[in-house]
Amino acid sequence: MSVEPEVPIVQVEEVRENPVLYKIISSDNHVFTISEHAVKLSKTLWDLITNLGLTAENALDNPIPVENVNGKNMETIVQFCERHKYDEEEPEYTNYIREFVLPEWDRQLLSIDNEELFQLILATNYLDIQKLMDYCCRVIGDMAKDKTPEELRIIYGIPTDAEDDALERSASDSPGPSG
Amino acid sequence: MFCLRWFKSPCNADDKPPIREGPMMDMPDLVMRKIVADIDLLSILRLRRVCHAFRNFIDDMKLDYGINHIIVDISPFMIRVTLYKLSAYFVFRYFDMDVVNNCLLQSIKTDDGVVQYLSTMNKNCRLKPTADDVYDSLEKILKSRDHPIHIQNMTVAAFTSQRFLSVARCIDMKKLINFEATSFNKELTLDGIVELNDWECIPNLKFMNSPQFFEYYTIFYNHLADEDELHIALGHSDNSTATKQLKKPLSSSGIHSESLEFSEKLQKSLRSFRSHLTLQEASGSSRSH
Repeated sequence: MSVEPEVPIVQVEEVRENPVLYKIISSDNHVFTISEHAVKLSKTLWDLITNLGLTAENALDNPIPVENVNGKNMETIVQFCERHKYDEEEPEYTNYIREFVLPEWDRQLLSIDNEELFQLILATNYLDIQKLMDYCCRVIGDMAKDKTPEELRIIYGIPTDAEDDALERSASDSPGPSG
Repeated sequence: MFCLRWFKSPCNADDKPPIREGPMMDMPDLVMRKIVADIDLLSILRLRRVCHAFRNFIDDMKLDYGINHIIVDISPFMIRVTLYKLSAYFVFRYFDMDVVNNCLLQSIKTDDGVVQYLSTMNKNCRLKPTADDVYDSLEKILKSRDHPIHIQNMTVAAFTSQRFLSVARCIDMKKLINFEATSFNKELTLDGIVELNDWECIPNLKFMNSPQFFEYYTIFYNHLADEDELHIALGHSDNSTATKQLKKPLSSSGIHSESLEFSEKLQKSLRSFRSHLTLQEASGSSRSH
């Protein structure tokens, strides 16, 4: 007759309900609270936390300022990270016909203005959140479907050749740092 | 990760109102690459037409869409491009506006994604309005390469030798293993083909003439050593190993002379053939109905 080892059984939900929390301050001084599992999705933030030696005891007393991300983007990012903090790692795409479908919740979250979406991508890139970057790029990619070149130019805000030339001219005409 | 573009310095206080760059162009290079890599092929092709800067960016990326086989059919009344992917292939077919005022697509073997491509193309896109434009574009693309393109198998069905030759000159003949040419027009002669550099290096050659004159006429040979072997191949010898196929002409009157004329042309062209390849095997059989 085998004896079961006396190992304390801790429900996963219990662990989830007692996370370590961190404080993040956006560029416009909004304060966000994010759990440890969620903040791990951001390589930049997690590296910062580990390098600073923040622990469960002092985490809330040491808010992390993120100068490059405004409150609106940070709110979206925190929501996303909290939503996906327990996700398993997805295998990388190996076939050329990508089967990946954006979940509806995330599609709703990313249904924002183009300009805001590009700003969110920049913030995501800065915070190094791979999954959110994948999702944002998918949304951007989906925008291109069934569009004419002119429509693409407007959607993506790509300047025409004439505008591009004008930009280059103005850049070359403007005095340099020593000029 | 910090990026230079992320910390753009404020514009100089010039009088000129700055032209605002779009959000896409503000993206760091790595992000741009990731975005573009997530866009489907047809959208990429359209994006290339947005502006020169973006086209250059996309071309520099050298995206791999798994397309391993391309067939371009160009005729006076139809332009068809077939792209083969790893698991499926799909066909874009374009009719000249003068003939059919619409695009028609045909997919032989497809999946959902491809159907979507096809419907998109059918609805919005045309490659070029005329066959000449397609030829020009194709030639331009091939000539823009640093080196001639490497192709193993090439099948050509041409109406005019000039168009065919201009494209063929952009192909590295040394890498070509199988070559098959069909002429739908008497203008296409082999005289032009032998002008191509290194054409004699092609191990397997197959020429088919116009179906207007015979059902088909095929010369197929491997590793010919010298002109004598060519004569055998062309049927100017009783050698039973001659690699000639001649099917029944569509009608008897005048056809025989056409076939002889074609053979004469072929023979004349191949007289300039100076191959250093050794004769390995002359395969095939001779048939005459």
